[in-house]
Amino acid sequence: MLKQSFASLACMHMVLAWAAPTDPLSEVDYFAEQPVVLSASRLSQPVNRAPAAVTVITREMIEASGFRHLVDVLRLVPGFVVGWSGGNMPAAAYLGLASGFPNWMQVMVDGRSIYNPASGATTWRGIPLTLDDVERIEVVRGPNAANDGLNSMLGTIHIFTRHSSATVGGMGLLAGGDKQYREANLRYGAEAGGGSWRLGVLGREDERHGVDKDHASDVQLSFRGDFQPTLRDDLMLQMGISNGSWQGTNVGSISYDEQHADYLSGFVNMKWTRALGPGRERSLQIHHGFSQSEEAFQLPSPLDRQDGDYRATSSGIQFSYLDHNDADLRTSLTGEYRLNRVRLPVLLEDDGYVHDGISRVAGAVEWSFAPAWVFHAAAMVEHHSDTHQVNFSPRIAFNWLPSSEHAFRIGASHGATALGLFANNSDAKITVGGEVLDQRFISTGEIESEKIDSYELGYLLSKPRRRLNLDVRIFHNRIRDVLDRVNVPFPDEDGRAKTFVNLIGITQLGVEYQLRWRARQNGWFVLSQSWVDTDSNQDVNYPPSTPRHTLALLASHPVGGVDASVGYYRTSEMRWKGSDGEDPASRYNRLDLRLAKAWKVSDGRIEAALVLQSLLGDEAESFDNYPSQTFDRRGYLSLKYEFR
Amino acid sequence: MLPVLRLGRSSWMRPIACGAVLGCLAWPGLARSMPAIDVLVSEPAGIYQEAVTSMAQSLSREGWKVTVATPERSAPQRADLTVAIGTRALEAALAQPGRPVLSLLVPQLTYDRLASGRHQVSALYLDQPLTRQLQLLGLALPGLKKAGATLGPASRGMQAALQSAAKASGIQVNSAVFDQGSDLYAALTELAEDSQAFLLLPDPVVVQRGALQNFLLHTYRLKKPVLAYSAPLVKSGALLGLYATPAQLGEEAAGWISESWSGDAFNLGAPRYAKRFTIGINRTVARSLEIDLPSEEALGRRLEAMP
Repeated sequence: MLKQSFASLACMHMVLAWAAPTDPLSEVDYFAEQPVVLSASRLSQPVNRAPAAVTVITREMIEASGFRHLVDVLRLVPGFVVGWSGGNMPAAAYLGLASGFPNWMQVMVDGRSIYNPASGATTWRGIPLTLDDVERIEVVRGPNAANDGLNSMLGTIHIFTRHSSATVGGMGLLAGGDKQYREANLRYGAEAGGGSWRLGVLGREDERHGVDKDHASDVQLSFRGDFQPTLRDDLMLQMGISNGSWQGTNVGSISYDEQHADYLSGFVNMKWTRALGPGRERSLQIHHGFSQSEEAFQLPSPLDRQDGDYRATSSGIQFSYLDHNDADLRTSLTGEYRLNRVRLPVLLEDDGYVHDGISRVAGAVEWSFAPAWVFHAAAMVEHHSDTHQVNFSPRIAFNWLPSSEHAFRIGASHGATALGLFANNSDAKITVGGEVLDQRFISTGEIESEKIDSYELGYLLSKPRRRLNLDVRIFHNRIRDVLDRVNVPFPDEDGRAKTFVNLIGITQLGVEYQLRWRARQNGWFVLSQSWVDTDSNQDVNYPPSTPRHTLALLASHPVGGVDASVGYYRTSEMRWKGSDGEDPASRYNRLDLRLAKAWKVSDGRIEAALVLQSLLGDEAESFDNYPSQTFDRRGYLSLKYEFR
Repeated sequence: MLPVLRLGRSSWMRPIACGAVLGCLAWPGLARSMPAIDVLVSEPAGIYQEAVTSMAQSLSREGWKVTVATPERSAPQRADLTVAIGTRALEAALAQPGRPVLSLLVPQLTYDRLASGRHQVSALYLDQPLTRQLQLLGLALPGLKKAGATLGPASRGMQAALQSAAKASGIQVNSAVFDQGSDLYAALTELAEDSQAFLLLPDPVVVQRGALQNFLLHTYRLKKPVLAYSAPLVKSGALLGLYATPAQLGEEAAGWISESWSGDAFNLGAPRYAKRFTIGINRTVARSLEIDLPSEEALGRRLEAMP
């Protein structure tokens, strides 16, 4: 009976706690059980206790940068280089070592991996996600396979979108400027049924390099809803669709620079999180995504038409358990199954779908065995049905925190690539009347994952009174079994075809840092630099693909009621892999300026901004099929109205 | 004549009643001169049970006559004092004028609305004093000079008290008012630039699901710690909590009742805040915000030592 009384009281509490706002204040408002809002997965880990170097890009930084494309924001991360191949195909690589399709980084949006299953690269332009919906970006610098899976060979980019309760109300943004840049972004969100939601639509077009056939346009629609059916449960539902049209390709340039992509992608992502107690939770995430590109093109007669149409789907289910209740011993366990399917007749051996079923289990322990010490151990086992390979990716790290201001980290990790379906199933050929004229590429089916062993030393300085933070990382990467393209005999017209073999070894030794400082009243800056020495025993193209030096500086300060920010981004010369030694090198020495003025209006806020980019006119973006591209000086104006 | 103790229907009342009876049996002569106390509880369970158990145990040790009832089951008594535990109980007690009433487990704003100026009515507030709350913020966050507070439709009545507390504690408090949960985000944003931490003040609008989520998520994104007024809010995501448990309030009320009995009548005096308190810390949030906090006990000792 007593239990019944308590149960009925608890029910009454819940009902009353969420009752109409006009209810008078009562003791129920003090004692009623409340939902766990800051659950374990919503709380970020202090960087001085993390097992790896983490760079956090905040909304404040995103807005101050003036960038309007998600991928450009990564220039703020030490060691990152960003380039746009063909004006419309962004490539972002940490520590270089990449072609126009970088595939050694894992990219996750709200816990959902978004890589292209064919190449392992990310189609940045086609992600149904606007910068205005991004809450923060956390970049793990260094192998993170033990937590995020095989693609995290050099690191992971975690993109977190804003909770829908933070975007209740409306937003409208209009922007336009040089190089045919136009953008309209509308968003509306509301609270409903014990939760909140938002719906956004974006349309934009531009010509990045201002050359022929450089025009691109996108339309995106996105939805996010967050609901709490009970005090312990959180439900998140996301959906998005993106439709774009641009010159360029998502499947690789075959032989023809007339390729044009009509790109369509979409996704559904659902996550159910149940709080089990303070710091403890379990979650179930189910997602499905698709992407497709119409890229068929006609080769000169009598060559057969090439079917470059691309279709891919990726579906996954993931279970996670976190126990962060004990300050000295924190654990996590994750299991995931994902099915990737790709149809790409122009490059793959099968005209239907090829698929890869990925099963993985990962666990992590963080143990503070003494007041100033933290020990991390994590490992992941991942199986791929396409290659029948099982990979084991462990990591260990120690953090020593001799005081609240200083922290040192030493760590070692092993990771590997998830071979894209293209690498293991390629069959690219030019035919005449169905007969093979030129077998350009063929897979042997005998290749292995590329692997990395990484060692690092880290130092973090935190001076809260001076509002200063410093993050230094010294690392040594030994990458082996890197795929190379070699000729093998083949009975076609030229008697040979290319294939992949595990051949190349690469070593990297580098140091990088990020310094953040905030003024007592207003103003702040973030300064990042990296120096990397890259060597390869087999391939002369790898060392130049890494910029020996990168620098990024973003500073913001109000000037006479105007928020002024300046961004300076610099890389030494580098060559994206695949570009010819005869082609100009890529580099940037870029200065951006943003001036923004905001006005409060009765129900919201209006902001006008002027952004000037590449004021020094010194940014060269050169890729194999798109050499001699430059990002010229330009500017745009934007007007944003937000209300609640 | 033996003391009379009416037993309610709920079985939990029996141990309390028996304790009181046994206490009176021990000194039957003394019991005759002891006052009779009616305890009116809003609900016969939960926090009300916790408070009344704690209070009755203290009073029964002194051999006092205690009768417990709910508003629906209370019969007119000739008690010397009615202790009303909970808002509904207070409303019922005030409906029967002519005898002293002590309010327990009722927020200050609600008590003021219901009973302000009423003769022979007093309260041990549910709230902790604002000065103490600010002092705790100052102890937990050395260097704190400015705090923010959002005031909803109910809590805006605390504005004057907030400024007095700011003066007493030496911590500047910036406040912004809001009418509904959807306005909370704007109020927090407005305050955030000039506030190092936030006070989460009691208001029915704040504890609505969407609004509470907004408050805790937004302040967390801004890396601003929050001091809240209840244990559930600490569990939900506030860094710190300062509150008195029902048992603490019950025990303190018993002491106050004993002290105010003059032998033939109760002289309760003015409403007051509880001297006792509990500090709650959400260590997971503290760790994420990179705030190194002393133990609850150490903070409590330092807080008790403050003027």
